[in-house]
Amino acid sequence: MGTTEAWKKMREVCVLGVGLHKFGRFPDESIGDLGREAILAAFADAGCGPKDIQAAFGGRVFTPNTTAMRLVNEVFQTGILIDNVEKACATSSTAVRLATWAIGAGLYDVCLCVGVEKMERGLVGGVPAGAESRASYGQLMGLGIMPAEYALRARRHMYEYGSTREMFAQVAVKSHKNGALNPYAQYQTPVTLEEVLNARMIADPLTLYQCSPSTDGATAVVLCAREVAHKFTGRPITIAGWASGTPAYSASGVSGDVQEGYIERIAREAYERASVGPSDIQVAQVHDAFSAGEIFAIEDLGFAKPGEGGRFVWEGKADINGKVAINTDGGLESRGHPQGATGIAMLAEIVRQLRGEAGLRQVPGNPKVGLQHNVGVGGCNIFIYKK
Amino acid sequence: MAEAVTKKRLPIRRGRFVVPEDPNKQPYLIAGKCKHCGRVFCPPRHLCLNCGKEMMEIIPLSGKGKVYSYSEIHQQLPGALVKTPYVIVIVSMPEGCQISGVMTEKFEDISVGADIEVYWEKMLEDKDGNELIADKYRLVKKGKK
Repeated sequence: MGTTEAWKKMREVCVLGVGLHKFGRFPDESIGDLGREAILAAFADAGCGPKDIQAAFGGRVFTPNTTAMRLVNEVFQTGILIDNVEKACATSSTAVRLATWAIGAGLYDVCLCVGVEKMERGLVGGVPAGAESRASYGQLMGLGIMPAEYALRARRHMYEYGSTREMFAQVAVKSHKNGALNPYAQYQTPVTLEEVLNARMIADPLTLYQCSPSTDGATAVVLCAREVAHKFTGRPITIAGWASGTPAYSASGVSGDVQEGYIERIAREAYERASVGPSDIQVAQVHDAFSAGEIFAIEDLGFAKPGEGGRFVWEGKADINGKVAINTDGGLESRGHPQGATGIAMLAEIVRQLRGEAGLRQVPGNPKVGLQHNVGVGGCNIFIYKK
Repeated sequence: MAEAVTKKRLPIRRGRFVVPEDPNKQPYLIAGKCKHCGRVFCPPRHLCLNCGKEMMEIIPLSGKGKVYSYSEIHQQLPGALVKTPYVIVIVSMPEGCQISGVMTEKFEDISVGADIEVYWEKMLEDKDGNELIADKYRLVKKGKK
């Protein structure tokens, strides 16, 4: 939790501008090309430029070394501190948290955060052919694969609560419907429930459309202290509360980043710091690396009771015009999941929704509070944003 | 046969189970049990996550447990020896820990809570002709020991 007094003394931090490179497959573009476009878009949105940035944080997951400096130097080279960050799928939201701490503590007024990824097709976590001698037991036996982690928890959810294949599949139907309204999404084609259920099985009960793809893409965000935001033309959105953590040991716990129990704890901290509760959240971007993950998140974040997340989606309560609009930009499954860039993509969508700039996928009713839930093998970051 | 004497059974990776030198003895899964607080960890680890003590005792597991959850995998992991489709199972062990492994049964026959047991399979041969073995899981058939 940290020291309560220090948290209270933090300055208010806001998002000044966001920028994305379209998500998809871009074999002819380097990570520098992807990152440059995202940074320039964030500068344009924020109404600021290189001379305003006092520190930068960022990274990627695969071959991460010195990524942040390489991306920033694509655009400018002013000698500022540039820290490289890696936290699996939660990499770029971790960069944002570090910047938020630094600005909140008064060390800097304006920071840039970046995330990027270029991914190979297929499952992550294996070893190249011929390198089996270096493989772990889990790799040799085909155990440590991400869709299986979600599928195993999904199967247990079906057993304990009576969730159905159709409920998990409906997450992907909704996700693709929203992705079709997002020009930055990797997949912009709606799919039917039948198409999702009949698609190639990946890890039962999860079919192809229920799995996030491998993706190339980049994201950037400019953050600043609220008290200096007036110097720029960006439309600031406040970071009202945030919390991060890792799973705690429990005797009955199943290992892995989809472990039950710890997300509730981190969400509670974030809600407390932002002085809101689950019923105040109107739009949320949650970590649906696999469709079941959205249902777990709905329960973990308190939008529905344990066991009722499947029904929540099935009944349309997570739709753009539902009770809590979830993954309005298509989520990881349809927007795409360039791992190091995903965290800031989630942030960017909340910012656009709270500004009322989300176009065809705009959540109705002038939403004022949004939540981001970004989970990686290395832990979870939750942010709450207010207009 | 001279060859039969020199060839050994070895674990495909160390730390998860023990293969006795005596070929007539069965391999067995192992866990770490904290001598201070009694918590069990599978696979074994050095420090207890519950009490922090470094008093781990290696204990053998019975190799019998119940299905906690399971999934049939259809996407091949690069470099894996096990080929799709195959079933991953999380086994709840009576000793108080969980272990995930590969199960060789028809997917339709598996259910949460079913009784399962470990068995041993040769996965590879090393350059000296030793058999590298790993644990796999199957349903305990009724009426069979």
